[in-house]
Amino acid sequence: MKTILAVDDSATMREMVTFVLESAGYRVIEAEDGAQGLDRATATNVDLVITDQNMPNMDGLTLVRSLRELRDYKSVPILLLTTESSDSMKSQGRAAGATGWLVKPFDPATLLEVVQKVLR
Amino acid sequence: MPIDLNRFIATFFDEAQEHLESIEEMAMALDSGREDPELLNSIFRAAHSIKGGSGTFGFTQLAEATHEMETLFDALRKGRGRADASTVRLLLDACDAFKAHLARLKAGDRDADPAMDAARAHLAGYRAGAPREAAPAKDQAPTEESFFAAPAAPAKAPGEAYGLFGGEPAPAAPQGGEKFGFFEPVAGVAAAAEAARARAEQSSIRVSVEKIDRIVNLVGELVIAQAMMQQSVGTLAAEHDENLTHSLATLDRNTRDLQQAVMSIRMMPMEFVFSRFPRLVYDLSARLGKKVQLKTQGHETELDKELIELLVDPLTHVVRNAIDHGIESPDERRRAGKPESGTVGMRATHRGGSVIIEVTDDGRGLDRDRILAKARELGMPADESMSEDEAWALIFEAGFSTAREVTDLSGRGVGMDVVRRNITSLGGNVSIWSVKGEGTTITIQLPLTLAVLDGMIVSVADEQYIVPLEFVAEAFKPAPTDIRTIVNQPSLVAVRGEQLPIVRLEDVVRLPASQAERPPPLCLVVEVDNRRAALLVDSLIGQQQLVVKSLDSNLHAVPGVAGATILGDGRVALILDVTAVTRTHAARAAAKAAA
Repeated sequence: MKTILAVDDSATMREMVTFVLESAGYRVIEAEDGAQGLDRATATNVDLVITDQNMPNMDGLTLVRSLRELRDYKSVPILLLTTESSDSMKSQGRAAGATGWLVKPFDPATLLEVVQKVLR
Repeated sequence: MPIDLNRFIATFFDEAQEHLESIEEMAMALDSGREDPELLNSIFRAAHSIKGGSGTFGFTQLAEATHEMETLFDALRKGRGRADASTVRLLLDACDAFKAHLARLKAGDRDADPAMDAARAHLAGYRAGAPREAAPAKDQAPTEESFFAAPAAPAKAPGEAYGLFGGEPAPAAPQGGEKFGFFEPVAGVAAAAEAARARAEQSSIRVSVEKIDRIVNLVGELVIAQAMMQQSVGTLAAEHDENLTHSLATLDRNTRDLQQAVMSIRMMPMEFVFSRFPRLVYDLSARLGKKVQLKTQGHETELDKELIELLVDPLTHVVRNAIDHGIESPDERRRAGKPESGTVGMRATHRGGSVIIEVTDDGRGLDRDRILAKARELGMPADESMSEDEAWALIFEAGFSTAREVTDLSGRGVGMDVVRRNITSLGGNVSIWSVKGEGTTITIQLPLTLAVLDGMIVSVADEQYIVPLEFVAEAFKPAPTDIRTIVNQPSLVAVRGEQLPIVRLEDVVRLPASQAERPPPLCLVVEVDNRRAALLVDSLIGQQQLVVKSLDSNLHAVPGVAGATILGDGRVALILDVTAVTRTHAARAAAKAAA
């Protein structure tokens, strides 16, 4: 069973992402901000990280950069949840080392589609 | 797999509400002159979060309005413009509109809300530096920079500062249909850690109050069943079976522990009450032209959820009074040699089985002469020889208000008597202490919970009743010479020189007159709101912690009775409403005196 780490400061978002992914048979670990996300990711190896951008304590881009510095997370896919698909977001996301991005609000089918793509 | 997003709506409503409350709180912190960039950041993030959720559920008006708020604070956090008192007002007004809108959405009302259009226009207008009435359209070219700046982006040079006030991309889904994308071809990127992994522990779960109340109720039944078993086999076991005695003791201990643990689920921190007050104090002092600082202490002090909810109204009244009547105008304070800004303090602490909540102000204090004059005017018994405590207690009497001008803020003389009635109906009491020119302290004492109660079991004519222990001052067997009889009825009893009115328990509960031989009566001195009375009973059975069952919800309200409980022998016993008992007696005495 694949494990996915969902990092978002919004309980609504976490609940939705968890529900959609668990319904599809994934195991989901939640974190409320980047710092907690980094903690959880180091405590447990996960197969995919989905993180929000704007969060207290540590934002999404910083989390992506910090994860990429860890040996275990050099090649783990990381998806950024964003509210827009601008070029500047894309260049920052790519530079930080994210795998892809997903625009909020998203529908459950789109989320599953992306997750299944990155997890093969 | 179709997934109904509506199942997450409740979470969103809770979350949005919390964000709005924190925005309010942070807005007021802004006004206190704190130059904290993290405040601006946090407001930005809170608005951003609400926007995200609103978009998900299709709450377009909320998404658009929070988008304006987010954009404004994005500019401010980047040093473009400064927040001042008008920004705070703007935020607070917007929060009011958002909260009202949330309430509509919660109630299932999805119609366009004109108040939200106005709120959005105000935010946008403010951002554009235009008069607040203007509602500029969002028509400028989208700029991306402000939305997704790197975390440590340096502030823009002042020359560019106004460029972003113009417009932002719409908060809804992006144009062009691109919903997600990859920075590189996805191929074998997934790490292969497939080992069994424990799901990360969660810090809290949301449970409905009904579920908790069912558990509380079941545990109550269990406590009763345990007490019944103890009573029926306890003595037997003590004589014959050591093991059984031991098991019974263990069961007893575990039942108590379980009960306490379950009750603690219902406990909530005072934070829930205190968090409402900064806004109240802010609005009220602004309206009255006073400067008031609110200091709260003891946020973590826990109290039963039911009490927390019932405490908000009386506390609101007390705080309003403190600001309206207690705290002086800045002028008056300066003349009195005080700092211009007054302080209202709220403090919650645990003391024994009670919670003590103090509301203090450093205002002008109570005016003894005016209170006494007013009392005489109202025909209340009042004279110069009254102690300060007795004089202060007068303001809790119905219809009492000394404010020279009735303001629409503190009500029309329906103030403190209502506060006292509310608090005593919760099994608590209120007292007041004041020094002229220095300030006033209102102290509210409440039980931790309404679901269990320490009671004194008393009997009269073979019936058992419960007197809540907190009202019992003492018990004694009166000598016949201590009792004064009026019209063949024992009416007064002397207790250390003080004459207390006698209330016969059988009159309170209207027992039919019994011919049976009865033991000489015992006096139980009860005290509520400084009113004392001697309750005449046949005997005292003992003290016990009891599970309170409401009569209103199971039967109907009965005057003089606060509730019921089930005793160890399975019998139902009524819990006396001591407040009502002393009051009806006082009322009767007053009527007699008038006649």
